[in-house]
Amino acid sequence: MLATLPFLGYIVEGLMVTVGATLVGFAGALLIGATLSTLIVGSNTLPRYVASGYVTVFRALPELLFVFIVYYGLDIAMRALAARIGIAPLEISPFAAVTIALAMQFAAYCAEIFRDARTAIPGGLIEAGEAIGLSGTKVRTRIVLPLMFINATPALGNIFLVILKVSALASVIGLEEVTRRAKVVAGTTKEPFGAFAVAGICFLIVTALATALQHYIERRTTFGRSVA
Amino acid sequence: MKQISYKLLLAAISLAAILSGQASAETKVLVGTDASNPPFASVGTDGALQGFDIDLVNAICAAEKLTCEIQNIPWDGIFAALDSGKTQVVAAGLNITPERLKKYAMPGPYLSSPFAYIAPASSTLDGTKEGLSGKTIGTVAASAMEKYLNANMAGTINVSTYDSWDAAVLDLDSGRTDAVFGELIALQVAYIKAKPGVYKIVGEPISDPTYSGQGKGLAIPKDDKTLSAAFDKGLATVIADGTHAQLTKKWFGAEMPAK
Amino acid sequence: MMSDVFLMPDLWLGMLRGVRVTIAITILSAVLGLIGGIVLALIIQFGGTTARWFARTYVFFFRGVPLLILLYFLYFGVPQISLLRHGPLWTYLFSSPFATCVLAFSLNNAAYLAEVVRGGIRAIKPGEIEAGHALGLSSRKVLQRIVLPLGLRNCLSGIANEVIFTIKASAVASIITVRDLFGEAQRIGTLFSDNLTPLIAAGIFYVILVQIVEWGTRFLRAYMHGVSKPVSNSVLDRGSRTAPISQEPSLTESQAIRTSLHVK
Repeated sequence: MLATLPFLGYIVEGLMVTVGATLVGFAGALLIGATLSTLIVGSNTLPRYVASGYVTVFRALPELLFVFIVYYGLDIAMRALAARIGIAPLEISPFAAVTIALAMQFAAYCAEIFRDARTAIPGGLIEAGEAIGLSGTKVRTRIVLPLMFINATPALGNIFLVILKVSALASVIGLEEVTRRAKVVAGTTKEPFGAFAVAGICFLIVTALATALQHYIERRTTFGRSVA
Repeated sequence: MKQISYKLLLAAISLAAILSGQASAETKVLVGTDASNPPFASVGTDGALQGFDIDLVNAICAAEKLTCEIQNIPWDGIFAALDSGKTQVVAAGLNITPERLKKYAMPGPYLSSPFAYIAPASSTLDGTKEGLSGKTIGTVAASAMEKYLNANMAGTINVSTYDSWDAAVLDLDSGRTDAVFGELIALQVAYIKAKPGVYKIVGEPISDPTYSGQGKGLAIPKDDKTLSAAFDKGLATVIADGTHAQLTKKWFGAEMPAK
Repeated sequence: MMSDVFLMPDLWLGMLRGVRVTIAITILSAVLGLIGGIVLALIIQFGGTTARWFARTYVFFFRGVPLLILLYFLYFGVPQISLLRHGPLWTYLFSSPFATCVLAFSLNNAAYLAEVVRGGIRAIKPGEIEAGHALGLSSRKVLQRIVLPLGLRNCLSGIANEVIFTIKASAVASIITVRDLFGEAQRIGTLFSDNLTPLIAAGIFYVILVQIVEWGTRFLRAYMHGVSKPVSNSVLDRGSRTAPISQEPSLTESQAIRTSLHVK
C-alpha cells in the first residue's frame, strides 16, 4: 500500500474524466431515450420500426467497438466533409467521442426503461387529465412524462451507475480515467490491490452521492403511493 | 428567420469548437505506448511517462531532430490508433512477428531477450520439459511466449493466458499456476529484482530463432516510408553512439546489445 | 486490411469458443442474480430496519464497485488470505476462474436487479395490494400472487437490460483467464495487430445474442399480460390503456370472499 500512496492524486484526478463523461453521457441518453420511447409506443409505423431497430442494434454493439466507430469514424467523416466544403478539418476530441458514444448507446437502454415506466402509469390518471379538458400535448407533458420519470427513477439510477463504470472505455482512445490510471499505477508499483482499492473507493464515493440523490428524488415523488 | 439561422450557425460553430481538440501541428510525430508495462513504459508519481521505450524514442527523435509526443494508450486501442493515423508510431515493447511485418515497418530490433520460467523461490521445478509435465504455466495471451508454448509444449503442460504479466504473476502468487513463462529481461527487473527472495528463474533461458529470435521493434504503418526511414536511421545512430547501451544499463541494470 | 482477418478460420473458431463461455456466464449469473435480487428487493421494501440496512449496504457496495475490481479482488485477493487457500470453498469455488467469475457476476447482478425489481414493486398501484388484503389474502399470498408477478412484470425491460449488460460485461472475465466472446476478440486482435476486425466479428454475435434476449422478453411480456398478442402501449389509445388493468393476473371470485388481513 505504501508505494501506492504517492500516486493517490494521480488516480483521483482521473475522476474528472470519469464523472464528466458520465454526467454528459447520461443526460444525452435520457434525452434520446425519452424521444425513442415516444416513437416506439407511437402509432406511426416507420418511426416505430426505426426506433426498435435502434434499440436492438445499440444494446447489442460492444461499447468498445462503438467508441472506436465514433472516434475514428467521425474523424474520417469530418475530414471528408471538410475537404468537400474546403475548410480545415475539425478533430473530434476523445472526450466528445466518448460522451456521444455513451449517450447514443445507453439511450437504447433508457428507451426500454421508459417504455416500462409508461405502461405502469394508471390509466385513470390520464383519463382524469382528459376529463378536465387537457389537450393531448398537455396530458403528455404534465402527466405522462413526469410519471414516467418517477416510475423509471430506480432503473435509471442503475443506468447511471453502469455508465459510470463503462466510461472506463474512454481510456482506449487516450483519456485517462480512474480505472485506467489504477491499472497504470498497479503496473508501476506492482501493488495492484492498493491501486484498485483506491479506484474502488473513488467509485463508491460517486455511487454514494448518486444513490443519495436518487433516494431524495424517490422520496420527493412518492405522494403517498408507497407500497411498503 | 434570418436571425434564427444566424443563431443556429453560431451555435453550430461553438459546438464544433467544443468538439474539436487541439489542432495538431503537422510536424509533430505522435508515438503511442502502453504505460502499464515497466521497465518498458510506466508512469512516475507525477504522472509523467518513464521507461526504456520512452527514453529510446526520445533519443531517436533527438537524433533525427523530430518533435515527438508520446501518448499513453492502452493495449486494446493501440493498433486502432496506429491504423487510423491518430498515432504514427507504436513503441510498446512489441515483438517483431511475421503477422506484424505484413502491416507495419518495424524499425529494430532494439532489444531481444530469451524466454524463461519464473516460479516462487520455494519451487522445486527444474525447468526441463519432463519436470514441467502436468504443470500449469501462466503467460500473456497471444504473446510470442504463448505461441512458443503451444508449439513446443502442447500436451505436456496446461497453459493459462492472462491480459498482463502482472496478472500472470499474481496467479503464480495464488498457487493456481506453477510457473510463469516470459521474457527474461523483463521478468528480472519487474519481479525478481523488485521483490527480492520471492521468485527465481527456473531452468535455462530459452532462445528460439522462430519465436524469441526476432527481437523487439517499433511499429510504423508501411506507407509512411519517410518516417520509418527516419526511425531506422535514428535507431542506428542511437545504437552506434552508445546511448542505447546506456539506456539498457539504466532500465535493466546491465548493458545489453540491440540484437 | 480488414478483410484479411475476417477470412481467418482462427477468428471464427475463437468466436465460437468465446460465445459458449459468454452464454454460460450470462445464464448462470442472471439466474443466481435474479434470485438474490428479488430477495434483496423484498427486504428493502418490506423488511425490518436491520435487514433493510444490510440489504441497502449490499446494494450500495456491489453497485458501486466496478466488476473489474471485484473480479480482481475475488480472484487474486482471496488467495492472499492463506486461511482461504484450503477447504471446500477453495476447492470448489476460488480455485476455478470460471466459478469465481460466476460468483462475481452474480453478486453484481443481484445488487443491480434488486434495484430493478424494487422499481417494479414501487410501480404497483397501491390499490392492487389493498385489494388483495381486502380479499383476505394472507401476506404471503399477497406477495406470491400480487407483489411478485406484478412487480416482475413492471420491470421486465429492466431485467432484460441487466441480462444484456451481463452478456457484454463478461468481457472483463478475460483478466482472470476466462475468455469469452470479447476476450477471444482481443486475443485475436493482439495476434494480428488489429483491434477492430475481431470486435466487428464479435459484434455480429452480440447482435444475435441480444436479439434472443429481446424475443424472450417479448414472449414473457405477452405471457405475463395474459394476452396472446402484444399489448400496444399507446397512452392515447383508450383501448390499450385499460387492457393491462383489466388483465391483471387472476384473483378469482372465490378468493374474493375471504376475510381481510393486514401486511406488516
